[in-house]
Amino acid sequence: MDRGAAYRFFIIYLVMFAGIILRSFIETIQVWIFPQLQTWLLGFVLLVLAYYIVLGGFRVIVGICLLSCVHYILLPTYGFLTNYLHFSNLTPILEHSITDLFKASKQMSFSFLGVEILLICYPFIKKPKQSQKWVHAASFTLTLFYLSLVIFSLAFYSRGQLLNEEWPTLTLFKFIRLPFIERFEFVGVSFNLFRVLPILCLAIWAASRATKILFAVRQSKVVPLFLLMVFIMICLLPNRQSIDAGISFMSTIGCYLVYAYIPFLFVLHLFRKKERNPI
Amino acid sequence: MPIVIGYDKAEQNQIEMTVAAPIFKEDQTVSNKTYSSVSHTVRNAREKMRAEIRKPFSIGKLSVALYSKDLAKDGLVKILNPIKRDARVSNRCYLAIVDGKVKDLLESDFSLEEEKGVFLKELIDGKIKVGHLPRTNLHQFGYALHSEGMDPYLPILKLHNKNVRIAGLALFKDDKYASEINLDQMRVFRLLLENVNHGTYEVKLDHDSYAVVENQGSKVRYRMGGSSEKPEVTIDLKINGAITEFSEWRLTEQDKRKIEMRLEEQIIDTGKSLMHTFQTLQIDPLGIGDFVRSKTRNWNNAKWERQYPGMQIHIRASVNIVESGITKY
Repeated sequence: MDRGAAYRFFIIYLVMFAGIILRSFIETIQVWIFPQLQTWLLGFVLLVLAYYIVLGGFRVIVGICLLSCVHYILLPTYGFLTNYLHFSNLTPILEHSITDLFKASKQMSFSFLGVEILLICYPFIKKPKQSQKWVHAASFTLTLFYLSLVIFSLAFYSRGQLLNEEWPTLTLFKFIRLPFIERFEFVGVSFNLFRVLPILCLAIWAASRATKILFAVRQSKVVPLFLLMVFIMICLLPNRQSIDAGISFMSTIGCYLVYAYIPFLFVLHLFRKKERNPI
Repeated sequence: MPIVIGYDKAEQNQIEMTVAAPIFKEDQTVSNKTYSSVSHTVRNAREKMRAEIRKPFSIGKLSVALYSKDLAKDGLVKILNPIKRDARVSNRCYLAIVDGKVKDLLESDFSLEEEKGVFLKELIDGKIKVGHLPRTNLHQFGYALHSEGMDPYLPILKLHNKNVRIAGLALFKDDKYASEINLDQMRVFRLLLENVNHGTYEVKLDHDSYAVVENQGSKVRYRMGGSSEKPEVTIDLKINGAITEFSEWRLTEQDKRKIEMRLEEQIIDTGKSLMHTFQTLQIDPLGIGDFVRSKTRNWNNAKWERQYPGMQIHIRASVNIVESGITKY
């Protein structure tokens, strides 16, 4: 297996991943808050910010990632929905076939993508063995968070309604009204920035790191190039259909990458190790 | 920034849109001026209206949307479409049906002090919080509309001697107006629909004496029985009540039992006649189909729609008088 080809593929994948994440965030801003907003304008501002952060190095990025926890403070707002939840929507349990469940998992894998960046970050973690339990804890928390979102959405919407809803989790916010803020979805939509920015920075950083290993160039030299690529990419996705197509394309590739290619490499690695150290 | 918008049916399949625009005066009072325009689509009617209104027109504060009964008979989906599409409209927005012309209602001076939209919003809000109106809003209308075993319902407003009153509940078959129930039936309907902890019920005892029972917490439970080929549903209702008025001189334990019994009878009678109406019209505002779906594996909507009109729905009520006010008699 050509090591370079795998790296090159991985770099392109990460840049595209950053692009699609950023574009779908800008789209929610355009639909929910500022319909007249130009894509390139917000994209440019956020990419300049990302440039600044990525140049700060891995530690700064980790700091920004910590910020992404901020959106968990929105969880209690779901308490406003209690009167409207129909938990009977969840029953009867396990009515779907295995193929249905597999299809659904493939659809949802986009939300879980990003773990593969860990492969590149790994040398930067000080005590990898001791840190392992934290990674598992983080993964558990995130899964729990997604599970609660899914349960809330299923209980809040009827089946037909959920099919018609473009952004069900954001529409949930449309229901919340506080005495000092009438439109809570504005807060909800803007809070997504805290989820988008860390992913953006991390993906760009990982791509530039991989480039450094492969071509022995300075990381700070390639970052602007990647940011430019992301910028061009977001400008080339003008509407809902193209963004949707982009997301499903990325989630297919990502799904195979995480669930097929990386396990395959692992098996290969085990195999080679045996070959090298015969007993 | 209109808080209430109304829609009427106009000639040649057009829609007449009426807006009560709030006008804020210097002495901090608010009055309304109404504007109307006619078009085939809601958005175009709004666009036409822009020609008359000097200030920017945005429906971000929309709290009540009114539809005339004639319009509702043709189906509401067409008119609700722009509201569902608009990211700016709150999902808490109330929808209501007007018996008569919406334009007449909005043009009349039913509200002396408040802005008309705020008045209507508070009227509906209040009846949901302490009255007999089941909870409805834009989200719940959509929920029931898109749900397979459920049909939506909306309150009916009526102009009566320059006052707006809630006249009953409009029941829908999908998005089309199918029938309506009056206020007395609405009280029982709400008991069968959800857990309530307010509301009063008048009980007629014999020889011209009456009692009033206040609901202090009612619980409703649906139970499945029968087979999957012939499902049966039992609606179990438990009410804790307090007697707030009694037209006799003394309230004995026997009277209490009697009041309990009579109220149970009344509720069961009204409930049965309601169920009969629903089943004949093939509408399901209580969401019994949705309940059966949640208890049945491989539920089939088409099969359910054949079963529903003929199925057995039992109603059981048990009233428990727990309080009778601060006097002993």
